[in-house]
Amino acid sequence: MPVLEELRQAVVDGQAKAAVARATQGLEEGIPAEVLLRDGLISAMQEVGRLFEEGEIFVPEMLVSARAMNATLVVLKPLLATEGSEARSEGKVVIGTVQGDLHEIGKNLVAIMLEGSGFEVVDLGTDVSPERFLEAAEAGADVVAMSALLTTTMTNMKAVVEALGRAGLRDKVRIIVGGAPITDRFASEIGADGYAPDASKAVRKVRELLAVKA
Amino acid sequence: MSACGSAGPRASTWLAGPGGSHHEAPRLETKPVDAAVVFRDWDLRPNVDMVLRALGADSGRAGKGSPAAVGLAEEAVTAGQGLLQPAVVAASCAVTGLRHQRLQLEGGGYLAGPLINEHLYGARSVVAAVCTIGPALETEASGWFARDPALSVALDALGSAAVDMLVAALCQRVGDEAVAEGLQTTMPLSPGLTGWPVATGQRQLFALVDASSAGVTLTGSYMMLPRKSASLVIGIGPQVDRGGEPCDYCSMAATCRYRQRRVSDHG
Ligand code: B1M
Repeated sequence: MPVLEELRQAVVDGQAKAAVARATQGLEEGIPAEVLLRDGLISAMQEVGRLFEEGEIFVPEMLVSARAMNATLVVLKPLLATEGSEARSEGKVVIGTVQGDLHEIGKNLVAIMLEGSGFEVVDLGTDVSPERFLEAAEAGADVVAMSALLTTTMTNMKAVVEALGRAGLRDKVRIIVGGAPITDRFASEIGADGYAPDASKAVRKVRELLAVKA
Repeated sequence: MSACGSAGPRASTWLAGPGGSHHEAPRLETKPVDAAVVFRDWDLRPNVDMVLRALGADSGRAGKGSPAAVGLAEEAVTAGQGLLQPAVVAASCAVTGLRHQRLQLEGGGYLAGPLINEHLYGARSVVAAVCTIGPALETEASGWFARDPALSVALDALGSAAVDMLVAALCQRVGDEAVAEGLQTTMPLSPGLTGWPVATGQRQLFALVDASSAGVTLTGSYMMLPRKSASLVIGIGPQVDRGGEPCDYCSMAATCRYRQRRVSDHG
């Protein structure tokens, strides 16, 4: 099916108009929206993640790919709802920048990549208190994802890990942390389940934690 | 609170100090910090390459990104340039002594830590500054996130590039004025570099300058608002340590994608 491959390539190249055109063509040819989503868009974003990790492309390219995917989703979403396949998600991730920290761009990039890879993302924003993380986790989350920019704010991640523990959620919810000053060692020290140095590896780590097949 | 002099707009006013230069730098009148001068005369024009680099593109390859990525950076420059509101508030403080890694300043303020000790030992005065590009661009960037996340991130990168340019322009200005007086300047030292932790450094630095006059505030966790702000000190003297660059003192020096590479580093 060349149109699927063309769609995939348009997303990898960050060509939003071409991606929308190929998706529209695919629908006209009778390809179900769900297939266009899975084998066109999500597969393209997985390829983008791989190219990023291998140093073949950088954040700007990743962004335009995500943009092409979003533009195409506008066309596919109503049909996905009709097909009843909209609810299919790889897992639910609650994400936020920790209390005292207002840096949002790292967290946003992680959210973009997670969404692009088929996860449902609940974005709590910045300066998120442990109570709000807990509330969101109690509402049903598979993963709690925390971001921080400075050494003065990363220490607030521990309070969230502890709050989830006290609420008895520690076995049900995986915790991943990241941000410029965070290290693997810091993640283990505070009792998180994982750390990722960039958005693409964050997706990989979340998959690994949930044992979702890539 | 300290009583450093506000660094005024004339060349020699960066050079507060108890004499010592062979040109005998004029001593600044000691003024309360609320008299700090805010400089707003900066012409910042970050270009597409700078935005791509701030987005983490390989600096050797910036500008050679995919056409769509370059297009995104162009969009950010067009949409964001008019939102830059650069301001620098600076105070010039005479050094009265250095003991036990603590640089004592006229008026009671001080700077302390291994990084300070290492770089400011020869300084006769320091310029303490807080630089910002104001809140407009970051508000715009945040606003775009729901509608167009890619543009939002690119606008954020434009802001980072602009702050970097502002810091460089300030260093250039201070450096030029020092040279004109036969003096030298150190590299800019920022709280958060290795040897000067964010919390202690920001407390010391914000006691020297009235950052609020440039619209910058410090949160309880020592984060500056607007987010696109940076704080630094520059040492000035007849013979100061001129080695190093901030990236050498960054905890992420080995892995950083944003590292400012010297021309000779480009392969
Ligand atoms: C949940 O799971 C996950 C998994 C992965 C996750 C995740 C969550 N969250 C993030 N990730 C990861 O994926 C994202 C995408 O790949 C990444 O997110 P990031 O947010 O890291 O990446 C962004 C998309 C882009 N990256 C960035 O925007 C940060 C890049 C670096 C170079 C940087 C920049 C550009 C800036 N800064 Co500064 N800055 C540095 C950074 C060093 C570095 N190499 O990272 C860092 C973060 N800064 C630092 C410091 C100290 C500071 N900065 C400051 C200022 C600035 C600029 C304004 C000049 C500029 C923009 C900052 C901004 N917040 O917008 C100051 C603070 C600003 C403030 N508002 O208070 C200041 C305090 C310096 C000063 N005294 O002025 C350091 C923090 C370490 C520390 N000591 O606390 C720093 C690591 C550099 C260093 N070592 O000196 C990953 O971290």
